[in-house]
Amino acid sequence: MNRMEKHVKKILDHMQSPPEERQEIKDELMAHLEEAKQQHIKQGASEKKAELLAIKEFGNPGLIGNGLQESLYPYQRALLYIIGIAVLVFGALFYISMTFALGEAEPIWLLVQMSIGSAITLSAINIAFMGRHYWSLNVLVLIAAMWNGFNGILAEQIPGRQAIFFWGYLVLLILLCILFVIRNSYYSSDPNTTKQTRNMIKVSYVVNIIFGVMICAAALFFTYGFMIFAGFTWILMVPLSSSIAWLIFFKFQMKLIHRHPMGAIAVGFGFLVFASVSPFAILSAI
Amino acid sequence: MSLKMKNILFLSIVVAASTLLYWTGTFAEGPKGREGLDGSPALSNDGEEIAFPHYEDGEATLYTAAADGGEAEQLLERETRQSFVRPAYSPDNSKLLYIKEWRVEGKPYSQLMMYDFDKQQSQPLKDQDHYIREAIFSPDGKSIYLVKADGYVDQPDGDGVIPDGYDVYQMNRSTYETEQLTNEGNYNLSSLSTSKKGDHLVYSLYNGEDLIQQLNVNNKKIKTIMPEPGYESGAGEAPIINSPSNAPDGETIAFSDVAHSRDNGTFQYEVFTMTTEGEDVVQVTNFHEHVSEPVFYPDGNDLLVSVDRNFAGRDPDYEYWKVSGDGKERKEIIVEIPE
Repeated sequence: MNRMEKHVKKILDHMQSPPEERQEIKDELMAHLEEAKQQHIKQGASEKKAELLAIKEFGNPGLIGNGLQESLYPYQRALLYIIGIAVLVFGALFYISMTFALGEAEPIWLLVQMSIGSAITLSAINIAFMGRHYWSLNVLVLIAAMWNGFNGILAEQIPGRQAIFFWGYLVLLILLCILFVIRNSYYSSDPNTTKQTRNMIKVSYVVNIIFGVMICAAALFFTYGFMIFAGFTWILMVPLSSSIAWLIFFKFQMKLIHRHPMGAIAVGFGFLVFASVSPFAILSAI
Repeated sequence: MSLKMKNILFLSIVVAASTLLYWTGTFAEGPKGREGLDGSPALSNDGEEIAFPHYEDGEATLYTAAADGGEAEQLLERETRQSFVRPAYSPDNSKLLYIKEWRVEGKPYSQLMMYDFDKQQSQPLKDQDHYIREAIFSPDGKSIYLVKADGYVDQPDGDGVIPDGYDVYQMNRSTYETEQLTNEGNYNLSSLSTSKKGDHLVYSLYNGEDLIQQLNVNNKKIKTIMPEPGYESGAGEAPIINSPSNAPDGETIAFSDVAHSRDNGTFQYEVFTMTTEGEDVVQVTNFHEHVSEPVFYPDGNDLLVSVDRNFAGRDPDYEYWKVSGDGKERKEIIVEIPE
């Protein structure tokens, strides 16, 4: 890899483009650099000096990469940073509150919270790698949303106005997660399709993700109920399995939404009914 | 800065911050057990003294104090992982029944004990194989009425077992023979009291609804006493009646029921009185808190009540109050617990 290729790679490190788009941008940037290099050679510079001058004139790779990322995927990387850091900050504040207000230090909880926050922030730092894995990124952010939904239940124990602060914080955080997933799913669709098709895809994603939120919220509600009345037992897996099943289903649903956006709404609704009924069917069969 | 360095730097900061948080957490005090008064004071039969449990870090021991308050006297040394609760005076006030409670691996145990004020010592009246919730002396002092479970059932959350199947028993103090008086087998039977005459016992239980039962000690017949049909509980359709107490004359019953609700929906309980026919229901207290465990003074008019200022909170915060029968006068009984 020569100097110019390394420079282009540094630019691409700030972008979440999928492989084909990445190759296109890479070719275009290389062509610009090559043209500038040839210009300097014509003006009498050596090949090495011409390369260095072309790179220098091209500009800071971080600024260019971020600029391209924002023009193609506006606010997505910033949203990831905000969500990741917000999860980490909540972890620190809530751990201190649990420890000193309730006298109950929960290091395992802290480990889970910090791991989720770190995973999301690392995804934002390494957007070039994680950004192209749309479904995996969605799963990570949805797990953050579900885990922090569970934190809302824990916040009930915190006395006084602190609980209201934590609830408000968590509501905002979960809304940001849902917003990110909807936008991230939308950006996974082919930008070369018609505006009408992309709008239909957008609607289909919003509706399908609302179905997913309903399934996950119901699963959290029943999990919490089982935890109160039955403690930590295998039965918690019954409601939680609905959420896990939806996350797996969503991988295939993303493909279907791109092909048949409206049909995918009907399929998503069918899965919602299935995921709502099957835990009860399993429990009654047991 | 290279991407690799950014990743290493970020992870180092998170690990350092998490370690710092964990280390800081080790300085926090662990959750403390319950503190303060318990809500089941006993009043001596001359109305001059009260006996009550007081909690320190989750364990209760018994104290006595003048009925109008003042410095309390510790009756029993505190024991690790044991609580002494539910005191009840003998008719001549020379003895005090109480329940010793403890838990072993999620299973609660209790033992009926009696403290002798003259000898200043306690003795067990039953072995540890019986789970006894509460006990009182008969008015003649010759026997003891007790509420005892017939076994244990698993906790609904799978965390250990709880006593179940409570009934009322009568134990002869001379022979220690015990006779079962009821056949309720109820998990919620409690608040045993009797009149001076001693021919009836009053208690409460939950059997689909909260009920006050009056047991005729002689013929074992049970009568349910509920407020007259016109009575409207603050709880809505059915009253949530608890801690009934028989007046010395046996004609009046004081009980606790929902009177109001807070804005957040939490019920506020007050003490009411009614006749043994369920008539003439009168609301005695008006604290807008959780008022329960009424005990009649010997005059049959004034009441000793327990007011929980932290009902539905993590731990109760009880106060004792003396309230006149018409509810117009009330005075807090402030007891000072010695260091």
